[in-house]
Amino acid sequence: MPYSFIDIEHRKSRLIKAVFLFLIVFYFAVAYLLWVVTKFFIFFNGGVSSLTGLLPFGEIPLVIGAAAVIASIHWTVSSRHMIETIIGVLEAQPPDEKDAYHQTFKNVVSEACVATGSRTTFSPYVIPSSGMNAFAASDGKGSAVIGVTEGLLATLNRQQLEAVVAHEAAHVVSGDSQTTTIICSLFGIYAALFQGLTRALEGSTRRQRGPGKAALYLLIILVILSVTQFIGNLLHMFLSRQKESRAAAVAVKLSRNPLALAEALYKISRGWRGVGQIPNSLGPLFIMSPEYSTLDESEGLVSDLFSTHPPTQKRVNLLLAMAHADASALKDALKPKERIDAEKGLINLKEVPKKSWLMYDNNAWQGPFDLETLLQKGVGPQSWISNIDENFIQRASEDKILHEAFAKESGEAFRIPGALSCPECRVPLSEALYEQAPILKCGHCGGAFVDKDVILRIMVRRDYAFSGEVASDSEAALKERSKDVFTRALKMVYALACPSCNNKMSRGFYSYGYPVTVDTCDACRKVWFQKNELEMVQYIYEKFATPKT
Amino acid sequence: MSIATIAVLAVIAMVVLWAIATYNRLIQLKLRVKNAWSQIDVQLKRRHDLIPNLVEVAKGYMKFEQETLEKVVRARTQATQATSVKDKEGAENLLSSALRSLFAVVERYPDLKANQNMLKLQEELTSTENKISFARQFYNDETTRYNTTIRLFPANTIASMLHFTDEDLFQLEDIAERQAPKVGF
Repeated sequence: MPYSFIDIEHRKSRLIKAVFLFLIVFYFAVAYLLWVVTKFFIFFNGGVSSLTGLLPFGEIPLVIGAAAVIASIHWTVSSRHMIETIIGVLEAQPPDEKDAYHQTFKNVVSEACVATGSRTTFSPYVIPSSGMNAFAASDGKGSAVIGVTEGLLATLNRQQLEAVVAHEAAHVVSGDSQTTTIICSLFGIYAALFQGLTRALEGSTRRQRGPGKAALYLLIILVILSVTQFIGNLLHMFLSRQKESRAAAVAVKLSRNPLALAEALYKISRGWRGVGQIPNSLGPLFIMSPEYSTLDESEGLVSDLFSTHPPTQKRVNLLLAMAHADASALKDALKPKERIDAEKGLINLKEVPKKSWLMYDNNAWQGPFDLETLLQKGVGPQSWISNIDENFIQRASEDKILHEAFAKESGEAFRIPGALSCPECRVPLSEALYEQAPILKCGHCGGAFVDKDVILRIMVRRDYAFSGEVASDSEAALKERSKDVFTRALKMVYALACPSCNNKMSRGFYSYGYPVTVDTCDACRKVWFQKNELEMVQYIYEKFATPKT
Repeated sequence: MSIATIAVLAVIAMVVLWAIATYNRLIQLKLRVKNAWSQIDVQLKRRHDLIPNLVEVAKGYMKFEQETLEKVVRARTQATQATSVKDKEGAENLLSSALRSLFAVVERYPDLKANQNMLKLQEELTSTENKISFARQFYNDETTRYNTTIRLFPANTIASMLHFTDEDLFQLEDIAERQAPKVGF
């Protein structure tokens, strides 16, 4: 067995090309067969002599031409908005710039772009699902999307993420998503025809016993179509498995790190890979089939025939062989991440004195200065300054950090226009990162104002350990989830105002599964957590969602 | 015109056409090498831009490690001034080793390691390093293809006539050397 990725790539490419061509020929052959059967039923009237006239080779180009026209129309229509449709179905979002995990993912995707010679532009997308999976789709015109789930981002380390993205980029550069869409639309025509005819047949049998000839004709067509679909599906799945193997080889060619891809596949195979409600036909787009099935894991004739992806064990073993390692190398990858103490959990975005400002003084730019020197130099709210990192000129009062400094000096006079304040203690909320995700935090009471999309990210990430208080509070909340519903209902009266739209927020459990009382603003899709409540939600999620080992 | 003249003219025309086609192909390959090089250059520039910020952040924490920091700054200055492929190779390798020793020192300062700006810069630097190595891989592939083409017969006749010369490959060490596969027993 060759372990060189170049060999594997060549071998698989030849095989894929052959099967692909065969499928196309098969499509046209079925079209011709259907034509012959139709002619037979129209013209055949008992005489044997007319049988010879049924197979004129002169009609072959005509039938092929018609089938090709139908196929290309179907293909253009179905693939026109393919990427938009997939993104829409998965509710995928572009990465959030403020989120450190998302930023890393964005960087990794742009690295993949460089690795493939910048011929294709890859757009990164994040799927809001706690499952672990990744997909790629391309429109064949030089732009492609690579999407990963929040769960994947939270679980994989950087090298593993690089390997997964390289795998997806490999699908795109080898044109896999093109062949998939072509085949899907070719055989989609027969599938649609099959459905239409079954409906017609049901309708006709219900009304009356139609003429026997027409019914027989329909029956034969249906048999041909179902056999076609069966063979088409088998070959399509075979093709999909070969493509997965080739993409793994190309990914190794790009990232030169087979071990990381093996680790990533192993981790993904042990977790939940759901990505939400998606049609089955999208399954082959993902790195591992989103539907869990025992077929994926077992080897043997049946599972080999009926799954879209090769068995995980086989994929991992091949990659390990490329890395000249064995399964013991995976042990390191499975060690849970080291967690940081809860006290250090919150990272304030501004910390070190940085010499990052230029000040316009005495008709010339001075600096760069750090914050303290700048204030000593007598910078006022109306002075012109320029932050080196941002590289544009503005009034000092428009700079966030300087503004805060002014506010500190002169009390409330310089509230940042648009800065939100804590609904409980009225102190301005400050931007912070928790679990590398952006939240608004009140420095006074420890409450946090968090976007609903961000809560999911925080729930799946595990950078920080929980304090004992959070653990005991959560356990208590779970135990008492059904008690004092009445008192809680009364609390509705004291609802807080939403910091961003000022409407009353509704108070209640985050959800029945997470019996932590929070305030939710449905209009802004944001939630106000009092101190420790966000951690409690996270604790409860983790308690019930830890993957089986 | 005799048949012989026509034949000679046809042969000459074919040779001229072939020469033009070969010349165009060589120019195309050379441009691709140049383009691949400019991709490396973009990433190297990005790396040089990140280093002053890195040094600035580290300075606040590492009072006693001025020498390490100065080494990085010096290596960066050298790298920005290098022009030829060979010069850049040396300067970038020097910069890589200086950065490696800086990150080794950073490990000793837990506060600095956890600093958000530092984490961000480290992530950016890792990404840039990866891009440099990918761009280099791509550049070397293109260069090898070009170098092979100008040496193979018959294209080498045109190449030597019009002074197409070998381009240099670009060799770099990785800053975080890829983990060597471990042998398990």
